[in-house]
Amino acid sequence: MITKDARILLVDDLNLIRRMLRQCLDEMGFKYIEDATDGNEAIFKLSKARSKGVPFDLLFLDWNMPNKTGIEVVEYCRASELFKDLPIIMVTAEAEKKNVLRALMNGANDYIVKPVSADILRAKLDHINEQLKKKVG
Amino acid sequence: MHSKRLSRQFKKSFGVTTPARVSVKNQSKLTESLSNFCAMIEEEYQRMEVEIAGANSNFDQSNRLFDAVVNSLGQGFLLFGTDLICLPFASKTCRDLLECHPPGKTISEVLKIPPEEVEFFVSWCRMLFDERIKFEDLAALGPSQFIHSDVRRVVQLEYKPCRGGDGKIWSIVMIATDKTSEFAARKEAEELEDHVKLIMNILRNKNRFRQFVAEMRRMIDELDRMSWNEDDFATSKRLLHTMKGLSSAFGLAKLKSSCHQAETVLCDLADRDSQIQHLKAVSISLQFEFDSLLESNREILGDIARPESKREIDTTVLYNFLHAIASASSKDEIARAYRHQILSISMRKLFADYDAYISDLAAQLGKKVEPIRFVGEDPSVVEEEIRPLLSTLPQLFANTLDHGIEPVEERLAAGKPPAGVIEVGFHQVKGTLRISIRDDGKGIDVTSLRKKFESEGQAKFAREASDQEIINKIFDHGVSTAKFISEVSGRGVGMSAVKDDVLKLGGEINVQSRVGIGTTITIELPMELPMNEKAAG
Repeated sequence: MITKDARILLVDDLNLIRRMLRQCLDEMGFKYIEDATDGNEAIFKLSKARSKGVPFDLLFLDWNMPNKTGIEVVEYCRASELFKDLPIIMVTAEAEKKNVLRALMNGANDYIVKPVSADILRAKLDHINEQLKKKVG
Repeated sequence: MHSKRLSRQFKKSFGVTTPARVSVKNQSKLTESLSNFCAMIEEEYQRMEVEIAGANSNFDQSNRLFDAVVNSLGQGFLLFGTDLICLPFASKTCRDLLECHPPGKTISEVLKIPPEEVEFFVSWCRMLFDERIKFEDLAALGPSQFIHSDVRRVVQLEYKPCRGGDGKIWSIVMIATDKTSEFAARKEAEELEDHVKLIMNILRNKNRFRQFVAEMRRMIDELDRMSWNEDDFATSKRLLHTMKGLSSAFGLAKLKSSCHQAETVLCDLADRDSQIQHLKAVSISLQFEFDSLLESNREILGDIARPESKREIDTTVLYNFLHAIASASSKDEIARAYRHQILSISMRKLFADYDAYISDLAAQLGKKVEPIRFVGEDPSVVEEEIRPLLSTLPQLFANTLDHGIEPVEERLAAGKPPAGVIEVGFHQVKGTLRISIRDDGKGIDVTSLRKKFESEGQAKFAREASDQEIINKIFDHGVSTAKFISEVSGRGVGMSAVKDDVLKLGGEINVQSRVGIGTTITIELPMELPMNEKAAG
């Protein structure tokens, strides 16, 4: 379950998008939010948090980034024992339909289209929680 | 009801409700009872038949009504199940919109999904039924248009879930809607708007348009006369590029894309012969396109489009000039007055004419830019004398917008205001006019240019040249920092064309740039300025 105490990692090379997401999440009452600017940094931060015993509970992932693309991060997570169940939401532009679909097929949990609003974000998180409940049940 | 009546009759006849054991004492009574009962059953049977027929006809009627409604909507409806095969229901319009009768076919067959994409498409369909992600969100990622064999047809596709009692999706409705006329109407409206914009633009800048017409004719002629050595090839590329910029400045979208296309083909052709042939064809078709454009707008444009040079002059200007003639003491003085009062025009005014072009171009590139800011003096010049500079300005601004000014997101992230700033300053010193054009964009990335030269086999230069030497290379043919060729600039023609035009005027051009801060282009032109003459006189 993703509660208000969830630890969230925002991955996007553009500061503006991270700020936008952070603002939405702040509004919704989330307290633990961290940033990463590319795929490599994201994977590093995920592993580090895990080894410290404070793993992330949710990942927001941009598609187009230097070094490692969003889909490579999804593939990495799904193939790894540690992160195979980590909820991942792709953050995408309108035009990237096919790529988003590919990411979903590779195991991303959902997607949101930029610009992000708190309402849409809330609906997405509710849906992911429902899915998680089903999985546990 | 009826069965109750039957059982009553049964009881009356046999004295019991169930026919398990019926003892009969009188045979004739039994026969009578049985025949009564048979008649009763017969009657009941007929009644039921009538009822069933009635129900059937009701059902038929509502079925027909449903069909009529579905078919009259003019939309293609079809249903497909978890096996992705279309169910035996589809509206008639499917034949027209989807060009087939879907029942029994797979949905990927109906939508003519290319073989290499079928697997992808099928996974999408499967995910729709799974509902791991909300149906609407996932449906939005599927094909939203049917590729009709008649390319003018626009057929939009929508998907809706059909749920069973358990809430699970058992089939999906696909709705195909013909949006051709809506699309055409919108396109027509856009074209009309463009046309109005074009006319407004021309009327606002009559003199500029007149020049444009003359320039275009000159360049089309020049293209036609190319004799084909290496220089001519570069010149043709430059001409097409400049024509593209000029057309774009006036919002002539079609002409602009023709030039762009011609340029693309020219760059792709490998051998000289086919290049020459291509250019001959291009100059003829551009000539034709340009003439028909002027012809179709002749009523509105009137004299503006005539090739001979004309110019509008304020009556007050004329009176002042007459006054100057009347009080002149020498021929020289009259010549000076003519030059100063009739021919000269404010530099700021000339540059401000490009504001509409700049903001339009910025919008096309998804960027924002403020109207040109002017600093320093406002010298007057004789327009004719700096015409080559004026015709090269669109190219210069296109480069600034394309490579210099960043997209809004990037600017905000860098702590800059969302709209880019272009500042133009004029300064005159001793027969020289200095024009500086400064932008607050991302500057020229020397490191990536160095890498580019290195990868192009100029390793020594890449290693040893100073930053300024590297930056100066933007004026060379074939150098562009753009990662891909946009319609605006980026073929490595832009800045070299600007330099050529400045050199033609006997001037000099220099560039200074700082990464993250911006770029300044400085142009120095030798010039007898009318204002100076007046000051001297």
